[in-house]
Amino acid sequence: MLSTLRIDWNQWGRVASLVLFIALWQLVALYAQTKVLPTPTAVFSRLGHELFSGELLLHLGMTLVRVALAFTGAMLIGVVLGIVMGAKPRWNQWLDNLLILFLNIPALVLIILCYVWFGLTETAAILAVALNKIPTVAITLREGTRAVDKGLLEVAQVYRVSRWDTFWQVYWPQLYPYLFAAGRNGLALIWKIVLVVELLGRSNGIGFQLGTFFQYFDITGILAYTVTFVAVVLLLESTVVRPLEKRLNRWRA
Amino acid sequence: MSVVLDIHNKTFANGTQALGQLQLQVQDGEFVAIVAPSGAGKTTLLRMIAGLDTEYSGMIQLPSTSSVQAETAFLFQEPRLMPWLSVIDNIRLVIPKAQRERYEPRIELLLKQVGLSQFAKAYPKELSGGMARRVALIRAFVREPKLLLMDEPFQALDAPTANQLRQMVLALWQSTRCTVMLVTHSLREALMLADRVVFLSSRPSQLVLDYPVHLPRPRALESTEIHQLYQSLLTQYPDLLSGSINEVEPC
Repeated sequence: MLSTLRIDWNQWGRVASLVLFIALWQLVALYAQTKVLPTPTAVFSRLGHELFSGELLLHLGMTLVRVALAFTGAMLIGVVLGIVMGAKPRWNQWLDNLLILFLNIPALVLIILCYVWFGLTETAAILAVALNKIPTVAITLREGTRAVDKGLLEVAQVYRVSRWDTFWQVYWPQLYPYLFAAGRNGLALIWKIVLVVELLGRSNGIGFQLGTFFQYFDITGILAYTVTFVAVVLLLESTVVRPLEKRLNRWRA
Repeated sequence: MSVVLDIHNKTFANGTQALGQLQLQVQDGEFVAIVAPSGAGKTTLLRMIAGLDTEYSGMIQLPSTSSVQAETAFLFQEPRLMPWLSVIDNIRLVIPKAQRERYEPRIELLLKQVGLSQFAKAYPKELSGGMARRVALIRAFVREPKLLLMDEPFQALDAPTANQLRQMVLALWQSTRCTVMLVTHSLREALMLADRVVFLSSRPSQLVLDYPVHLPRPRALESTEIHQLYQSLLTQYPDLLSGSINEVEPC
């Protein structure tokens, strides 16, 4: 795990482009001298302030919990649904149109409906986010299930491998790439929808906080929270998602 | 385990008739090779015996009815190893969990016999084609099957590797005394390995000739005995390999 945190200097281009971007931002902000584009230094000092007051950690924590719950729920349901639809044409026939329907309902509509029907509650918020994500997970996993190598399943059949082992040792590993694709895209989508849900009907979380800043036209605050948010996503990606993917894909090397 | 086939007809959903009338009996412990032209339905026949294809009319009898297919092993044309499992886990996969412990020494022994001990933890990607087939061979023999079905497993290998594998199959067959049914389009290979060679016609496949091989073992693929037998068979039945036995009329 530790080795993945170390900076690989051969990839200095990645760092350089970031530094260049911040430098450019600083220059433009200094030149423009306007309240709507604060300098990076102002944003980072605000970030430090919010961090030490504990304010930021509270809101970030709430958002993270919502993301985790919605993500887990959406993945579990979406994966099961996708596998069933991929493996059983009959189920696919029944569920296919529903899936397309849900896929095309705008996120905002689902959020509003959940709040209207279930009240401005935590459950409604998480449900709204999960519902937005389930169809794309299901569709990705359905494709994965359809692409499963029949030849390997025949091996399991001929040698009378138990259903349990057939699923976990023959079927499941073939779905890894699809699981990661669904997980990655899912996380990116859920981050964004959670903020909207918080903006519309919660009294804490980064989304709520951004809404407050907007009312006061506090662009420095908005940018400080955005930077934190992006940093957390990148950290998760490099310390959890990528190492896990690497481990599970060892056999491809 | 003796095998009795009495197949009336096998037609695919798309209308292609793969097999016609086909009666065949294979004795316990016998090594039978099935030779037929390409596309004659040999693979289909093996898949039916293995229970992978059940849409046919007729019957296939594999006695010792208790858990018949647990006692059947299948060597496919490709090794068909799970790429995400190491060599040893690929072999363990075909052993029921409760018995795995007991089979560990045998797995080790078999790996040693085929010269793959150091590769137990390797992934299939790291193996050559010949090595991967040796793993598939162990997977087939590890539970001492009563019936081994082989679908041209030596195809696509270079001659020395293929020969080495043939010897391994023979050694394992002789130590387990299982019944073997090998499908091949190579008559020499059939003559070298089998007790009996069964010739099938092209689609829809029917039995053309049932030929016992009386050569003493061990036999070598390139030996004069095999060569002579091969020649005399083809002189007697010039169209044998394309699936018919119109004998040459004496001039």
